[in-house]
Amino acid sequence: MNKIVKLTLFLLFIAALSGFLLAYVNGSTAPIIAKAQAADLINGYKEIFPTAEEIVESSIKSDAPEILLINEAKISGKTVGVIYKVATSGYGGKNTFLVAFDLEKQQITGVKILTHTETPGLGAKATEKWFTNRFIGKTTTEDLLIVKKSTEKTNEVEAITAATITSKSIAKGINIAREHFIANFTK
Amino acid sequence: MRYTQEFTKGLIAENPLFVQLLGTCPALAVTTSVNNAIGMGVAFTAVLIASNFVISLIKKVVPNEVRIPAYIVVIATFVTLIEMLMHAYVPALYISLGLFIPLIVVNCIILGRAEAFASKNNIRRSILDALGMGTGYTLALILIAGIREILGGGSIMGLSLFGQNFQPMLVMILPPGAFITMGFLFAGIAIIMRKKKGTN
Repeated sequence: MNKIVKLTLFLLFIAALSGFLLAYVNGSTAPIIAKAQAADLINGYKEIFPTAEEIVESSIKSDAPEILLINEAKISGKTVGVIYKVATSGYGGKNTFLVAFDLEKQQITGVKILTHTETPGLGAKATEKWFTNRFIGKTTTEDLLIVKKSTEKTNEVEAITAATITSKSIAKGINIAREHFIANFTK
Repeated sequence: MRYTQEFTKGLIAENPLFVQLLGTCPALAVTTSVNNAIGMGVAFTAVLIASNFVISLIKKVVPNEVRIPAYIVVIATFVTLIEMLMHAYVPALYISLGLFIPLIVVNCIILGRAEAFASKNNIRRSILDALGMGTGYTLALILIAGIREILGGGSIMGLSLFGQNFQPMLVMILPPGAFITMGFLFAGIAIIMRKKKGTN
C-alpha cells in the first residue's frame, strides 16, 4: 500500500512540475504568437489590396459559414474594394485564406493563404505566389472555374498539377465570397 | 567506450533509422522535401538532447515501476515547449512543421534512448549520445527527402533543378514514394552491413 502511495505521489509531482513549466512558457509565448498572427493578417490585407489607405471591418455581415470576416478597403474614406477571409475544406482539412475584390474594375486583386493542412509538396504549393497570382485580374461577375490547361479566359484558373482538390477548394471559397460581394457591394 | 564514440556511433554504426529501424513513421511523413527533413531533424534533436539530459539527471530518483510514464511526461513536456517556442519565435518553420511536431512525442527513438541509454549513463555521455543519434536521424531524413524531392518534384531545397520541361515522378512525393525509397535504402544498407561482417 505504501509503495503505491509513493509511486502515485512521484508521478503527481512530475506531472505538476511539467504543468507549471508549460503554463509559464505558454503565458510568455501566447502574446507573441497572437501579435504575430495579427500582424500577418494586416500584412496580408496590404499584400492583396496594395492601393488601400485603410482597412476597416465592414458593417455588412454574411450568414455563409465559409465567410469568416469581411473588410472594406478604403481610399480617403471611400470604399474601393472588399477583402474576405474565407475557409473551405481542401484535401487535408480547412484552408483559410484572404481574397480581395476591386469594386470599380470588378476584378480579383489578390489571394493569400493564411493557414492550411494540405499535403507538403502538392497541395501546399497553393501558398506559393505563382499559384495565387493566377487569380489576380480574374473577373468577379462570373463563377471561377478550375481547369487543367493554362488559360487566358477571365473566369478560368489553371490548377496546381496533382492538386486539383486544393485548387478547387480555393476557387469554391472565392466564388462564395464573390456572390456575397456581387449581392451586397455592387449596385 | 570513449566519449567521442558516444557521438559517432549514432551516425552510421547504430543509425536510429537505417540500423535500429526506429522512428520510421515520422520519416515517412516528413520526407517530402529536404527543408521539412532538416526542420524535423533539428526539432527532434533538440527534444532528444533535452529529454536525455533530464532523464539522466533524474535516473536515481525515478522509481523503477513508473519509469516509463515518468519518461513520457518529460518527453511530452519538452515537445510542447519546443512547439510553443517555435510558434512564437520561428513562425515560418512552425507553419511548415506544425503538424509534425506533436508526432515527436510518439517517436520511439526518444523513449528508446531514454530507456536504453540515458537512464543508465551519466549526463555527459547522455548528451553526446543524443547529439549523435539526433544527427544520424537528421542525416537519414535528409537522404530520403533528397531522393524523393529530386525524383518527385525535380527540385532540391525548393530550387528547381531541371527547368520547366521536366515531368517529375509524382509518386515519389506521395506516400508510396516514401515506402519505395525507404525499402531500397534499407535493403542497400543491409547488404553493405552483411558484406562488412563477412570480410571482418
